[in-house]
Amino acid sequence: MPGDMITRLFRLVVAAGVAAALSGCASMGVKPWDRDLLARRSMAPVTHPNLTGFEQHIYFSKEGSSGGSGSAGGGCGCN
Amino acid sequence: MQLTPDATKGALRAALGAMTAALFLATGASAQDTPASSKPADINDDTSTDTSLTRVDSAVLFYQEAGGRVQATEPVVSVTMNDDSGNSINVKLTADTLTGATPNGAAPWTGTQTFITPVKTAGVQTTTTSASGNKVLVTVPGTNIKAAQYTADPNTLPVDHGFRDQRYAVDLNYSVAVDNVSRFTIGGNLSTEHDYSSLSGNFGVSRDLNDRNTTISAAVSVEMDTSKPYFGTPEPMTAMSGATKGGNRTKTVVDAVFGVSQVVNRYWLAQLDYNIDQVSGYQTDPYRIISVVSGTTGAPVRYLYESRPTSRLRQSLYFGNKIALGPTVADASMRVYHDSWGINSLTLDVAERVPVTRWMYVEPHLRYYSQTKANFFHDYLVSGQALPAFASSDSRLGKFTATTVGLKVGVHMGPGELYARAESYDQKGTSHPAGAPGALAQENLFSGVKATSVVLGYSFGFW
Amino acid sequence: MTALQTVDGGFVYGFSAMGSPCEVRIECEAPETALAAGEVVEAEARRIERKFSRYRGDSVVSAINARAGELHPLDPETAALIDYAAQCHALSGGRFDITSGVLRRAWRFDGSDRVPDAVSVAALMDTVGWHKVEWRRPVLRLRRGMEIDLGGLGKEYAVDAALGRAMAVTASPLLVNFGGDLRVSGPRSGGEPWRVAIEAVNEGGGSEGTIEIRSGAITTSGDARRFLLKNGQRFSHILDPRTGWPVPHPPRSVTVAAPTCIEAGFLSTLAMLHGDGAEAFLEREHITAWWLR
Repeated sequence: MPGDMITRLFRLVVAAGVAAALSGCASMGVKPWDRDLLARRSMAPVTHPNLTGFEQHIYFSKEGSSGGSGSAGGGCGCN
Repeated sequence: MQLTPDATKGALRAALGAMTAALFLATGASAQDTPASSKPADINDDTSTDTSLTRVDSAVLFYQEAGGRVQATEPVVSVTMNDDSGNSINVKLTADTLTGATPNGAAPWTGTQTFITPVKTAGVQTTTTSASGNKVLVTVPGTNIKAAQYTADPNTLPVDHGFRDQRYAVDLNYSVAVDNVSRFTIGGNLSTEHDYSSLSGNFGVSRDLNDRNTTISAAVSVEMDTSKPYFGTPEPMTAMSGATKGGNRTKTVVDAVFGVSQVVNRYWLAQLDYNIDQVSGYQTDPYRIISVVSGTTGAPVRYLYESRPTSRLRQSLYFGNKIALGPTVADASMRVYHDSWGINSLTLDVAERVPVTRWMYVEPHLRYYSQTKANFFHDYLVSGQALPAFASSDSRLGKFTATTVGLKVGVHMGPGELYARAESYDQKGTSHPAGAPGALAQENLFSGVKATSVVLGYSFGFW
Repeated sequence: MTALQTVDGGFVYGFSAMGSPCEVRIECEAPETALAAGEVVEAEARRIERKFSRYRGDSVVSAINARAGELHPLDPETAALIDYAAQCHALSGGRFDITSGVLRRAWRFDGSDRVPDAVSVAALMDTVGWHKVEWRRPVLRLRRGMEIDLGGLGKEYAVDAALGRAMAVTASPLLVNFGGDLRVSGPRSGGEPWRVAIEAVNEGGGSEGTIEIRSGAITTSGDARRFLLKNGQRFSHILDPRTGWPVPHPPRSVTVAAPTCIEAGFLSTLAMLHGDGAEAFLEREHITAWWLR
């Protein structure tokens, strides 16, 4: 994918994110008694921290990008 | 009996009906169900929390790159102690052993290439002497400097076989529930290798809003790294030599993440993170060289130590989703990344957790990654042309795409979960860039990796 | 009293629990079936009474109240009920509150004229209000001096739970009635409705009429014989936990029909808590109800 396309996509996603934030999260959501599915362990953002950690470590050491969600990888001389 | 709300029902009755259904589901006393028998726990419908228990999660990673390159074995043990007020302490210990060969940065050539590295003390075996013993000790002509020489066969990617390292890391994190909706976390990390050490600290806050349907969070971290190359730090863009080099170098990383997670509806949880960090200081790979080749034949003329800018601003935007689709859970995410070195990247990631039995699930995983090259990336430099200030042939800074295909399996076993994951990772880049001079046009200049990894882990909680 | 009596079309199993006469009506041929269903209902009623009665020192509720100020992890059933009560509090705009019981220390509804003074009510209000409770399921922490009382939900919950147990024992038509809070398993044999008498709430007794139901539950809330009378002003025993004072002019009784007993009980109590606005509330929310002024 050409670089300028990714740059444009980046800007687009930033704009979309800001728009979503402005349109207000208050209109979304569920009542506490409708949380049965969200309460599952399998619905947690990170279900297996060790797997996520290994994955971030591998990608951090083999790719030019890092970060994104939660804490970025790092702390090793592999990059 | 019907709990289905009908059109004439008031909002209060509808809400009450739903919460009553939930009550009898939870207490197992529902009149429309058979009485609660002691069903075994369903790993795919586990809604337990870790409140007041201690969780031990240990796993080991086996990682291997194709072509005899890097191999790694990485065991971790993570212990999290939770109290009954939502506070927790996590300690994670990591040990990491890496061996194998790593590309030295030079381009392949039709003839044998010879490379030279310093040694600490003449005649003393050092850590860079590989088991394959393809390094020879030489005295640099006209001096009494002892150095090590190794070769790369014709038409093969030059690699340094001396790659071997042992890393130990400890992570500490403390998470505190300030009140029902606010939380702060504080943590630190220490990691040491023979030739590298890293120390970092982080602080984060989060707050639940809108009846806990929205969580906003912010975190900052500061990391200080010291690079301590075995034979000192070479001067960038100078010729590869057997002479020992300069002292240690440092860099600092200041990082911030701002996030919003949102319950979209009963089935969908979304997360949006913006991440920005500034890296300042020494970011060059002290072991890595770049070929300077003849503009007509493509033959290597000399080798220079690579050079990277001392400042890098990285930004990324991550959009993640967890979606309950019937009994399955989909995890779909996307990340766009941009940095001041000119690298842009796009990452797409999809995993689908599918229950197999009450005690087992499988989760196929697909990831696509694509990046553009850094503006100082060069497969080689051309002799006779002005030297750029920065140049690196590191494939991580080049243009490539990578795909990951994996499968995870989780099994409820004893008091916890046994999990395993196997993945294959494949980078594809430009093997024959346009304009390569002479015989270099026939060489494969892409040095990306193909790797497979297997993880085995077990996680359990106890009171 | 524990007895199985034969009635037209089946049996009645009677016992006494939760301070009320309780009965199970079973429409079947075999007395063994009726007895089994009755025993299951009684066992469930006694289990719930033992677990949730604030009058029993060994109940979960007493343990929670005795440990006010401390973090108290709850078992899943209690946690689900507390969660339900918390949702009722939210749904009712704070009118329905399981922490309001401590107000009884000031208010004694014995038909006398001993209306408490504003200062003593205000002093108690420090320990009333669900919003003062720390609740992170399954961990509960009451402030010191606070108490919870599941009396407003417990009996109704017991009817639903006991009916569930009995329906697992027999497919015969069932009616479970704990002190006037009742629920049926479905229509009677032959599709006939159950006929339920609404009891009069005044001192004369007698019946105010009958309701026919084929499914769901019926509960009645009222302030019969429990009030204070001072200077010609009647103070009902329906206390508003937001103020600590009785709600003005509640109906004499409100009878509500709903799919489950716990829903009916909450709605009839909440209607009473609306005081002189009870009828408007019932109509606004499309609640099937009968009331007496």
